[in-house]
Amino acid sequence: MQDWRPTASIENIQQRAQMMAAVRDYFKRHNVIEVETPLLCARTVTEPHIDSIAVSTEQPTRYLQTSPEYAMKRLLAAGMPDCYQVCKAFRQSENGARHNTEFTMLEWYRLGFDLNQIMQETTSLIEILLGKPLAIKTLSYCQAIKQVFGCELADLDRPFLVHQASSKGLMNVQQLSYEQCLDYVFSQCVLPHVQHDGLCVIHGYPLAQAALARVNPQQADVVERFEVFFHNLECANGYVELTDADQQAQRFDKDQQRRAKYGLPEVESDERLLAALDSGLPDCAGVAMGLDRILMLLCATDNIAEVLSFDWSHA
Amino acid sequence: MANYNTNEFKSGLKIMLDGDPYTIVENEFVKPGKGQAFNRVKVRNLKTGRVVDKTFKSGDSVEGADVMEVDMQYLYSDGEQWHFMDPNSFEQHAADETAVGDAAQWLKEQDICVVTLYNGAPLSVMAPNFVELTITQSDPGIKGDTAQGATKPATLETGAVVKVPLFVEEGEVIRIDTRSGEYTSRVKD
Repeated sequence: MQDWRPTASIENIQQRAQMMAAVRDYFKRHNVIEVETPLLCARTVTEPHIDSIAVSTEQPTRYLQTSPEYAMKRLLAAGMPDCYQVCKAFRQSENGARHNTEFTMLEWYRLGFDLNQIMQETTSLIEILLGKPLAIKTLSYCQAIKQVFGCELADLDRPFLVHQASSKGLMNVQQLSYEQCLDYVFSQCVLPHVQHDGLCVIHGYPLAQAALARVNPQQADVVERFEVFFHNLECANGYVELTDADQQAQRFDKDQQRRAKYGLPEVESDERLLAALDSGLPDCAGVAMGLDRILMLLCATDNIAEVLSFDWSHA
Repeated sequence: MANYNTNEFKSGLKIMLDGDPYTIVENEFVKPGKGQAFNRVKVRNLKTGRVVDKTFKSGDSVEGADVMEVDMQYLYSDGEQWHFMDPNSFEQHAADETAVGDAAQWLKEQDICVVTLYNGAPLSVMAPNFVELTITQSDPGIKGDTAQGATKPATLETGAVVKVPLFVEEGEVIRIDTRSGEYTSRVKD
């Protein structure tokens, strides 16, 4: 028999509609304008751990967007004021209790915001969406490492990371790069131990995990990137945005080298984004929030399928 | 044997790890937003029964284990080997003491068991959840001893000894839950 029924309950689907209304209401009250950008673009992210879905068209390959970030930055460079977008985003092979290849993302940009302002707005928006005040714990990436291992980030050498990762049952550790090991150890051995009953904000990521964040003007090896977790569930990721076109081009190149090293398919860098940065992106901060994850918290479920009308395996 | 990519992982999949066959009990996809994706699995060693946690980088592949669970009829034991037959193919398999393990004490000829074959040879045998066996020896219950839940030992036709209520007598057939090794009821003809 065909399994045609939704994976979410009707109550949870209604809850989603209410959450969407609350998102739009929040941004309307704060004069942030809703925008739309294409879901199928000629370019996509170069980040090695984000896998885009390529779509064949009569034109050269297009990609389902993994985030509307590049397009929204082109709007900002063209003079768009504070803006937000609620859209579907797609990431190949990401399916599990907390992941669905097709998911709903909220992305917004604030001109002139610094790291503290954007972190503050993100946590207060989550409180509004969840309808209750939350305890908020903010600490830097380095502080989190210090709390758990009692040492500095620089002290975490490869043998230490390999040992930690292996003791957690990670197979073939020797094949992983230093960055992949650190990533694994941070997410599996550090993050779970700094969580508390509320939101946990981690900021100041190492340069290797910069993505599109600006380098901290006071500390050259740290970037102005933050992530928000609720009981180890990652809810949002934000940056004070990198506005320098040359640095952005270098990061694209670096991504390309890592992709080659990991044997990943080549994707061309987005030259239109680079041109937009070159013409001038105003100082701004931006955040991507996984709205399905917020809805999971609202509906008190640890399975994303229960908040999606039809999850990946039933779509 | 085929290799399995982590995106084919699901519970019940049989894989080889460090030279031993394992079955996946649970599979969880783990991915920090910008970071490497992993599959965290709970796997059970099919030889020892031990459950351990392992994590694979997503996209890695793992060798599949040639393991099948087949319903087979228990034929007889020659003292060293226990002989089973696949009722569909009539193919016979001999299992040694390690493979039969605790199941040995519940096996009665003709019963259907689940035999796990690894590379074509029996790796483990699971007795049916319930078996009906005859009591070959049990002392009569002492009259007047009617304390609630009082039991006495009874030896079964397979040699197993179980605790039975005092009113159960030698020669009777009883039903046993092999998972707990406990008496559940008398079987009336």
